[in-house]
Amino acid sequence: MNYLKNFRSFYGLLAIALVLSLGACKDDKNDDDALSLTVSETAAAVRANTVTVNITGVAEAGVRTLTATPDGAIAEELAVTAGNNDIQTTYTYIIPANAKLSDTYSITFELTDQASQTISASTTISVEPLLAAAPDTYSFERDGSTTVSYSGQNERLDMVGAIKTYLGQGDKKEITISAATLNAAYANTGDNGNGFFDFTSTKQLKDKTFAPDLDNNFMENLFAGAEAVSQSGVDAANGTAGFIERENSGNTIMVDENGREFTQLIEKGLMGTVMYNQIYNTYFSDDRTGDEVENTELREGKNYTDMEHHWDEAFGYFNPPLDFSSDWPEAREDEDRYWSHYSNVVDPFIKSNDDIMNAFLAGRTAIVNNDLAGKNTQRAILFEKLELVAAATSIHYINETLANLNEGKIGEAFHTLSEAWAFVNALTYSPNRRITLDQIDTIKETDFGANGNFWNVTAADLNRAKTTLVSIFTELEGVKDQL
Amino acid sequence: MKYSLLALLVCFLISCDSETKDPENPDKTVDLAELRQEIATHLTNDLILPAFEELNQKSLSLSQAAISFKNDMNEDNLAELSTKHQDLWICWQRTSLYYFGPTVNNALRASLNTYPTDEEKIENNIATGSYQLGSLENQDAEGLPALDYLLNDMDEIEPLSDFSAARLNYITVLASAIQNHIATTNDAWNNGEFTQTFSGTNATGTDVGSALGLIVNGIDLHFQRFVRDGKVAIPAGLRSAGVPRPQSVEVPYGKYSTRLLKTALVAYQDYFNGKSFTRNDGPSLLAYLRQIEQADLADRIDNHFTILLDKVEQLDPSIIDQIETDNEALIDVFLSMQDLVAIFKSDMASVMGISITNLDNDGD
Repeated sequence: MNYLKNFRSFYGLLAIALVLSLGACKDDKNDDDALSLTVSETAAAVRANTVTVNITGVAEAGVRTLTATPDGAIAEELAVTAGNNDIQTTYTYIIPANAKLSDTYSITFELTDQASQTISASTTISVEPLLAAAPDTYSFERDGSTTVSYSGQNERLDMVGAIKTYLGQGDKKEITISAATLNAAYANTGDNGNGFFDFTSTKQLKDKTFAPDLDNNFMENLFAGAEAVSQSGVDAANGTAGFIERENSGNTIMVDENGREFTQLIEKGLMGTVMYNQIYNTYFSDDRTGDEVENTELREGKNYTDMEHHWDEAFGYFNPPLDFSSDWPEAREDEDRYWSHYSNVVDPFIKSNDDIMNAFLAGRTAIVNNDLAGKNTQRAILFEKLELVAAATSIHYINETLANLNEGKIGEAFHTLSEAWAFVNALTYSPNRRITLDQIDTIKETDFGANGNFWNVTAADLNRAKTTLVSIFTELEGVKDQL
Repeated sequence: MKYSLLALLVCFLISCDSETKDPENPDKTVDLAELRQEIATHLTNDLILPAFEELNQKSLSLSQAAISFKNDMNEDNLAELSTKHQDLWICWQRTSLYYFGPTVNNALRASLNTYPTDEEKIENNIATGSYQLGSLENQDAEGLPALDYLLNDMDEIEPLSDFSAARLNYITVLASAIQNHIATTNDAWNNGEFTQTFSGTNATGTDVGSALGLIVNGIDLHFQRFVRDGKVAIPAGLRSAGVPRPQSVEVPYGKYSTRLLKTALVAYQDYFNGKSFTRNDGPSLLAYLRQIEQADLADRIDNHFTILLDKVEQLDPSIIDQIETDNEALIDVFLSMQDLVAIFKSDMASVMGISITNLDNDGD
């Protein structure tokens, strides 16, 4: 919000600068007959709107012509009554619809008298923001109708939810998991996952998956592993995939031969390889929200520009309630989903809800204002803060695993370490990641148990992972044990 | 976390009255935040750090005794090793109750005292020589209970020649691992940042991360799970439909399980009273209760420990033998512990404005 206040003071300064620059400068060659020209300090207007410049002048020798020359355009003659001594008229200028907030337009006026003396004055016109401040909630309108739409993101999140529910039934041995069913859901075969979803959608998760993960069959391999455990029904052991009991609830979960829980790796894996991947590598790429992306013309048949819509789709993958904020009331905790849910988990320690929500709001406001620098600033903040949520959540689950290790709860430890694994994995997807791929790999494959095996994990291993994360995400240092 | 608002509210309510009259001397007001600071400082400097230092010394003795026995395998050295092992286990009872900060971060309890130990896994580790100590997998094949099996199971160790080189090696590796775990944790308590903030910036408040919050939550979790359930309820069969599980007692072969239980309870009573080597009644939880005009509650807790200890005093030195002769006496001890939990969990924590955050998390 602060930067919006800065906008206002920026405009104040601009107005002063404008006044200072309006002084007329009279040509010096002949001052036999007095000649003066003053143009108004007409401030600014919103893009595509009209600015009116007031012009007054005195020509003792009588006026001959008055011209206006906008930057880079040809001179335009304004209507004056030749021979008059007093000039009083106006000039209107339409700010281009594609004007950026930072753009300024200079117009030079030139008055010529009957004695061929000339005098000129100029006006600098600046662009006003359409929205002076970001709204409190994520709601933006044009001509009375909303411009926000991210139904495709909602549908994909619903698909992840249905997959999670299915896997959960397999965990409890209520059903036998089928990899074919999961693959159909993942690719959304026949627009309803081959009957898997109780809704139809033209969207799918698979084609939004991070390309290297697709290459390596990240999801498909997990589906196959879950099916194998579900069909075998065996108990898990070191080196044997199977079922293990979670001590707190007595419910079983399916884990692979290294103790990794399929349900968590799939659900939280999709949060990384689809949701964060799409925010970072699709919607926050310059292809979608770069300065060259269309932000003037509306998309055909829609009430939004391309840039607005792409920003909203990124927001859709964070998927918070529209009025999300820090210190979110417990009574409304079921309104946040996936990443916004985990932001809320770590919010008491890093106030991530406010940081992320304010950046989405300010960035979207900047797009409405065609304030490209402002949009870029907020996009950079979001790269940083979304990544921080993944890092803080990783530490949160490392701490939970330490607690489970202390209590000798192996099933619970595997569950929380699987979550930690997936959140560390989610750090992979940002092109601006602060952590290196090698560091991510070391945490996942060594610090979370030698040889990538959770059965080997020690407190010293987990503390080493924490130390690595905190050495990179230094803002978590003070809360690393509370998270 | 969900309770932080509640904690804040309670904290606020208490802080409205953060200066109370000293009951002993009504003219004098006492700053509760300052008292909380004194409690954290006293417990750290006079109870926790000395306990860990003693633990560290005893673990060094154990490690040395293990090496002596390995180098010179005779009855005396075995007896000496067994004694050092018992000394350390007893000392652990006076240390394990400080269940927060470095103790938890280093999972010291899991490495030192996971029982019942898995004898089959131990034999397998000895046979293969391939294992990772400190891991989830091997928690029940290392630490003090594993050494109990290796040193005190007389069926297994007659004659001395039964100690193969691999077996001797495993014993020294376990002793050395115990020493390493303790040294790491002791070092973290002495030199890490936790201790500074615990008795420093985090000492005055009552919220979740405050010293008082950690102490009360640590007691809540540790006492219930590892003292009440681990030492008594599980062996007595109270967690298995009334069918006793004598082999799950803390020291099945050494047969001094009652002594361990008693030592743990005395340590708890001292903890509540702030009793250290140098002071009988330092700044403590019970002193705090008295300060907020809850002297009755403080007395009730202190007296309850005395009653409980009297009951424990009556038990057979070996809880296995007690279960066989009269399990009801053990169940009676459990019930008395249960009453104590109710007193400090609901009564004490609520008047202190501390929220208990140890909920079994069965979320997604």
